[in-house]
Amino acid sequence: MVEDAQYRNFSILQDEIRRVNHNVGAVADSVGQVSAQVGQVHADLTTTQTQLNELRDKFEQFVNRAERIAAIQRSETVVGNLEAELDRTYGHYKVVRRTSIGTLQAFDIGNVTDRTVQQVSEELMIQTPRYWLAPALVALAAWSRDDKDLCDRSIEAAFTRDPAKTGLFFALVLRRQGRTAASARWLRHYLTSLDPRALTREFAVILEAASQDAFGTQGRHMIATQLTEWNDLLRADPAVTAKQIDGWVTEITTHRGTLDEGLYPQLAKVSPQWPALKDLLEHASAHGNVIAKYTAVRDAQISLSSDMADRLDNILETLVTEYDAEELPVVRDVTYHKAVIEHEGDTARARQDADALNAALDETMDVATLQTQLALHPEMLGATVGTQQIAIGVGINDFTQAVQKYAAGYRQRYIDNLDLALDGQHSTFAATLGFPGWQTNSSTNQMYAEQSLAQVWSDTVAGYLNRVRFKESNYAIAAVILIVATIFGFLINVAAGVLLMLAAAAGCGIWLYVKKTAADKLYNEAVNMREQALHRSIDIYRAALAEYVDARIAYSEEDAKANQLAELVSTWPTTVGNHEEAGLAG
Amino acid sequence: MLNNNFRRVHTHQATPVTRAPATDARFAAHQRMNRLRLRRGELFQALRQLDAATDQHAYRQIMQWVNEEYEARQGGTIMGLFAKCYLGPPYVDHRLDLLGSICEHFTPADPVPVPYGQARALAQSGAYAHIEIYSDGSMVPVLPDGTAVEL
Repeated sequence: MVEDAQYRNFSILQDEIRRVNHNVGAVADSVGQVSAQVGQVHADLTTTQTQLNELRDKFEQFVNRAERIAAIQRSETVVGNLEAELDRTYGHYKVVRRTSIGTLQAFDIGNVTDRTVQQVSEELMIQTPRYWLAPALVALAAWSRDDKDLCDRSIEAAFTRDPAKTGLFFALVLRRQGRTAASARWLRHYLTSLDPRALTREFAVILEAASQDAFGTQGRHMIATQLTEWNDLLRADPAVTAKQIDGWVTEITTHRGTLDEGLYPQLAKVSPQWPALKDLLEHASAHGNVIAKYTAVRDAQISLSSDMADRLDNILETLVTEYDAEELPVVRDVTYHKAVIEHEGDTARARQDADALNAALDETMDVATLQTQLALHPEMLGATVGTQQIAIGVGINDFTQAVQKYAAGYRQRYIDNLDLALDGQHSTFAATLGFPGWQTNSSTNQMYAEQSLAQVWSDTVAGYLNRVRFKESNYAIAAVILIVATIFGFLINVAAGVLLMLAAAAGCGIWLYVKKTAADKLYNEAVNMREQALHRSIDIYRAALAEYVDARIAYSEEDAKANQLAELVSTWPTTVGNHEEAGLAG
Repeated sequence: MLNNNFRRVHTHQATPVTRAPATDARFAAHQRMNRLRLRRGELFQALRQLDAATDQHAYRQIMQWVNEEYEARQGGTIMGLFAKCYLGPPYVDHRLDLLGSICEHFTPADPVPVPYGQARALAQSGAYAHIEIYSDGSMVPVLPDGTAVEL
């Protein structure tokens, strides 16, 4: 009977054990599936991280571009508004300007009645208050009618409003009408009234006229003497010369190129000194651009019209159009916004450029600065290329010193040996295997550097393998669990103890098996990756070195142009007579 | 000699400055002008001979000649010259101290004493024959054709 009962219990137990086995098997399957999915998730995570980094880089690029486009659009709108404002506020002066030149030409031909000229000039006098040219125009009309009293009063009125421009205007008009002696008197009067430390901008007209030989021999001689005297006086102060040299240095600096980072992709990523190297290359590139610009200036053909009256008309037109001081603040703003558009939204470079150009838009300048600005930005002062050529000839010493000073400036930041650093993210292998980072220098022997890199890689991989390897301690953990479960089971019941022992043994066995296969998989993967990872890093290192060699070659080529530039400047033709003049020299 | 006076005034702080400030400024400007005058070809030849000189006596003679050349120029007291070294690795630059007649070579890792340190990058750039360091702290790089650059 007892055996029957025991046999029945035993068969129930067998059934239970079979069921447990079955369940454990199912659990093992599930665990295996989960492990596979975890492996998949891990791979996905690495891919996602790489993609996220790429996305972040692209986003930053997009933000920069969007900022620049916004700056360009803003500047375009502002330029339009400012120019409209200029037109609105000072547009009515244009009528007076056109009338003055037109009157002179009408006098030449003689086909306009005095009464008409008188009427027009008096109308304009009423319509443009405070403008110096209006009474000057009345004076011209009165002069043609022989009305001395009115002429004197009008000239006085014009003189009160703007003495410098009036004096210059009549000096030119008298010359145009052939009154040489009177013109010389006006010119002398004008020149002696000037303070060489604070010349107003229309003085550029004198230099323009001198370059076009508009004042004749006597006038040219007078101007040359006066300029020499002023220059000697001013340049006794070294600060004045230093200011001119700085002006030239700024000019060379604004001619820096922009380096295309696509030419040095690996170097840009790998070297922590890349921004400094890029800056050095950009500074060296200025020489080539300056050579191109000033060769064009030197070789520009000047052709002057043979008719003296024509030339003087051009100069008169410049005089009356260009130099109204009230317009200057608006013109300065327009200059800045145009620079932003030209530099495609790079507001920092635009500000530099605009400041350089606006140096020519100061209300007053000393004579040395005026001549320098005529050499640098003649269009800001209404001068032509001929005047620019002469002005550069006057400032040769400043230019020469500026070239050397500029070159010494960027050479002080010369980099002889570049640091290279491969960080933990330089390749996907590095990210996966936990590369700690490696630094070297371009002056290190390549073989030693590659050996050191291989050493770091083998240490990294060894560390990784150690981390992912299946550890013997797992066996100990499994054994402990088994023992604890067994003891616990036996404390309850022999049968339960046996049952629990078998279940625990099966469970631990499954767990150990799954862990071992996962660890082995990672281990084998890492062993396969090891060679690839090292080669990848060596490729990046070699590419960076090659790009550095290219960069050095590019630098020496550009740097050598400094000598060419110095040569161009020192051989600048300083004679005035290199323009064609068909006709009388007056 | 003019230079000795100048040195005395500036090294002994206890002695009150006996020059009027205006004269000092003119003197400094005059020195600056002198400093910028062209160096003679003989100077470069002498410096090249220095590199090759093994005999102590010849070395001292050349140093004396160089010192006299600089004093005759009256550009102020020159401390020394710093230049790129063509001896080959591991040396990259050297300094020639004119006050003490010392020539010292440096490797890239060596720290260069002040005030020569600031001339290092200029010397490495290869564009200058040497860089003169003056006692008032100013640096004057000299191009191979003898022209000086005012920084």
